[in-house]
Amino acid sequence: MMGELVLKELHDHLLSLRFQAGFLLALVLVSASAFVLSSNYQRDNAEYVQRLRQEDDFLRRYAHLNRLGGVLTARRPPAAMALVRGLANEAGMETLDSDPMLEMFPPMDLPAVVAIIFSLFGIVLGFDAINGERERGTLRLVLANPVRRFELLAAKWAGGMLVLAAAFVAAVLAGAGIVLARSGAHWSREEWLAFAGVCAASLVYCGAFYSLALMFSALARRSSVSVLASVFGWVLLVLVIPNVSPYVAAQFAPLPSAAAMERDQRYITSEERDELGRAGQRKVQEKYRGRFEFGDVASEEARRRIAADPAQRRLYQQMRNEIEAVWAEVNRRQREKAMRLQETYQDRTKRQFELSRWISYASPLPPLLYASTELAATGFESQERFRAQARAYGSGLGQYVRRRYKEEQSKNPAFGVNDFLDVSGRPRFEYAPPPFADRLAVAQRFFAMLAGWNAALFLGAVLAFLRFDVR
Amino acid sequence: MTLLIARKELLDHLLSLKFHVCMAAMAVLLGLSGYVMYRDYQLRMENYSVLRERARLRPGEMGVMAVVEPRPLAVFAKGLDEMMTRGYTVTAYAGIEAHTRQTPAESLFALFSPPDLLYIVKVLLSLIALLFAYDAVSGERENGTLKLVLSASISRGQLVAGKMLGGLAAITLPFLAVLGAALLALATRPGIRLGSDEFQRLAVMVLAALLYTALFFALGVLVSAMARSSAGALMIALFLWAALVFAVPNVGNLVAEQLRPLPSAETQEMLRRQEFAKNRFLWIQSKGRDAAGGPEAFNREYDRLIEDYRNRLDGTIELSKAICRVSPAATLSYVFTDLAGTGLSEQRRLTRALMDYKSRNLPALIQQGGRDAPPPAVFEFAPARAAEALSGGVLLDLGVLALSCAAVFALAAFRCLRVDPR
Repeated sequence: MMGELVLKELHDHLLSLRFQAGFLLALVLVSASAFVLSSNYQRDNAEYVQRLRQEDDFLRRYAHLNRLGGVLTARRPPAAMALVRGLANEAGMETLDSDPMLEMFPPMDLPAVVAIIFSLFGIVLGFDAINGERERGTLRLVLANPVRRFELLAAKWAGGMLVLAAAFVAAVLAGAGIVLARSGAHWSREEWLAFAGVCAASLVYCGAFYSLALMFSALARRSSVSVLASVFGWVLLVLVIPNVSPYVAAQFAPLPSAAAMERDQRYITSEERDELGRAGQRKVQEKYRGRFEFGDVASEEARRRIAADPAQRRLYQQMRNEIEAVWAEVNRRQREKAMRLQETYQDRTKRQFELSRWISYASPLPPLLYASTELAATGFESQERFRAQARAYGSGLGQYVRRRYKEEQSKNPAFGVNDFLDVSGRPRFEYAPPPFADRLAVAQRFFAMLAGWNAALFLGAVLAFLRFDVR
Repeated sequence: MTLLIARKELLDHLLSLKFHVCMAAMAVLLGLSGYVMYRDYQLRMENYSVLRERARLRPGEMGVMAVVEPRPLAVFAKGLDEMMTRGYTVTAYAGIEAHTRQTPAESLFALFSPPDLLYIVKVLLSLIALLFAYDAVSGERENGTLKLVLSASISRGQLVAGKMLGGLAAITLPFLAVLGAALLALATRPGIRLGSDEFQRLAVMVLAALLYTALFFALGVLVSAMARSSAGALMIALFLWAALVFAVPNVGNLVAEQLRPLPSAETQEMLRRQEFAKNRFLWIQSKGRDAAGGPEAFNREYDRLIEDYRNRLDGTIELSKAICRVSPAATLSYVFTDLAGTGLSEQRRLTRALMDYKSRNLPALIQQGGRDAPPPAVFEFAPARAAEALSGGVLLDLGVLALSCAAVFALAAFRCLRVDPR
């Protein structure tokens, strides 16, 4: 009996105008976004390669210790699963002319299409599932058979979900095909697993909205009422709660000014540092004043004498070492001071972030977005991981550069921070995306939430239907 | 006769459950949006005063911090305000550095626009318009009342006009009332200046919002006249709405980037940083003797890089704007943000102003840090005047909205004339 009911639902939906219209729209949108995103991926990739080359080129000619920091930054290649955009590839790089269009109309990727179009699809398929049958008079007919109400509802759910799943899988496979054919990206086993995970999350998400529509169709006697209720429920869950939540969180846990913090940091690590360093250096130089046979240590004469006379050389070396120790100490202290500023800022950010997440859980859309981006390795945790890797790389690179500097100095004592420093043997940044198991571990929580939404709404639908007057 | 029908329509709507649900939702969301965006504006103003304070130079500090004040009308259309007010450090040696913006910590929802008035109109009001219109014709046919009305001595033209008038009034009058109340509440709040200039701009925004709503209402009537059943009409209307409001603008700008590809802003930033390091390197290596090196040469090269990129960016933006205008939602966004001073043209003006400032103050910026050097001037950015904003594209976009509105109305009326009332 159950099987027949599901089959009947399937047929009903597949032949309906609403299914055909919705499927067409979904297919077109997923394909269009896949088309565009795959070109984006291709371009990002080409740009990534070109930038590494450009960096190499630059360093081969102009590398010097003093200004390596701003030029050598770690970046990650674009994620191969181009269908999920998520967070930017370059964490925390503000630029003067970032594309304002993308800010006005953020590009639509697969999770966005699912979040808006497929959830609407679920609503449209389900809003008159029960009361529509009552209006047509078929509900009494069906219930006159030996069918329990729960069975009927479960069959309706299963039938609708099968149709939704079929439409989704068809659209998303078309999208994946377009991406694989056009972008030249290769999806490893992990990528395929992640892709399957994103699809699963999307389907569970759609299920929540289908259940919501079922619930309203059993709560309201007329379908003209349930359509309103479902659409407004959808508006609230999809269009209001997610994008209001960060703003509400910001009011309860405001952030200190980022720009002022940056400006302070810069002052601490440059002007103030220079001031302190120079003062320390002067003190050291004062100590050595008159101990050189030649007066000014920066003159041509001095360089010659230092090179020729071992005693003078030792003395000079000693002074330089002391000066460098002074600078190293000042640098360390100022860096620490700047780090403390940063940490306070990050603590506050974290607090707001977590509050924002908690508020956003009042809708099933955020868990979908979190799960998809984490699975695609473009989400928050992945970005944290990338940042940690970038930091580790940065400190390794710093060690390498300082070592190289010392080497040059042992060859030529007068070698300075503004002299060309060959860094061609530097370590390269190799981004290791989180393994699939890790991504899944993070996404699990969000899957559970989505499943919870589904269960709660379906339960609501069952309870409403048990009390439904079929006349 | 037309007015009589309009009155009947209006009363019909006023008594319906649909009306109450829609208007309650609109009132709640408008109130919520007003409050949330007002608080957001307050927080950003606090941030602005912190930045103002911080912009004062400390002893020996290099560079000038350029600070831009948040726009009060950003409460209604936030647009690019967050991007514009992030704070910039201008130096003669490293160019213009943009600071991290003051944005909510959770950035994944950047996919959706902030919940301002623009968003409410764009998303909710259009949806309400469609919900009011989708059964205008097909519903009456299903109820059998269409035959009844048409058997009276009334022309179809009059009927259509009356239905449209009545339906539109039922949506827009409550909207205007709620908006008026929200504005009144907002104007009495402390910390936000809404003068006559702002109210003039707001009036044009409201005009655009009405045109936009009318457009979607007409679209709903059109769909209603074409569909066989009102359930079918609703499906088509909903999907059409989703495509026009979300899909077209969001896919459109990516299409523009396909047609006119643009290197990313980050790559440009790296190029400029490298230019800076290279310039300093060569300058120090030549011990300052090389006349081609030095800050002047660096700034020439830097300005050229910015100028080139901005020109390419402007080209892509223009194309993208043109493509996105297919969607009335995008056109509405342009009108709102341009009027609020948070739009694309204002952002371009700001970039130019920063560049100008740097060029004009270059000597002072170069000498900065030396003894007795006069401090560079403070950066001031004057927002575009209302007339400037109007002539700079708002009128065009309003025209596009009005024309497409008229076209859809004509189409809807034409379809209604051919409806089979059985």
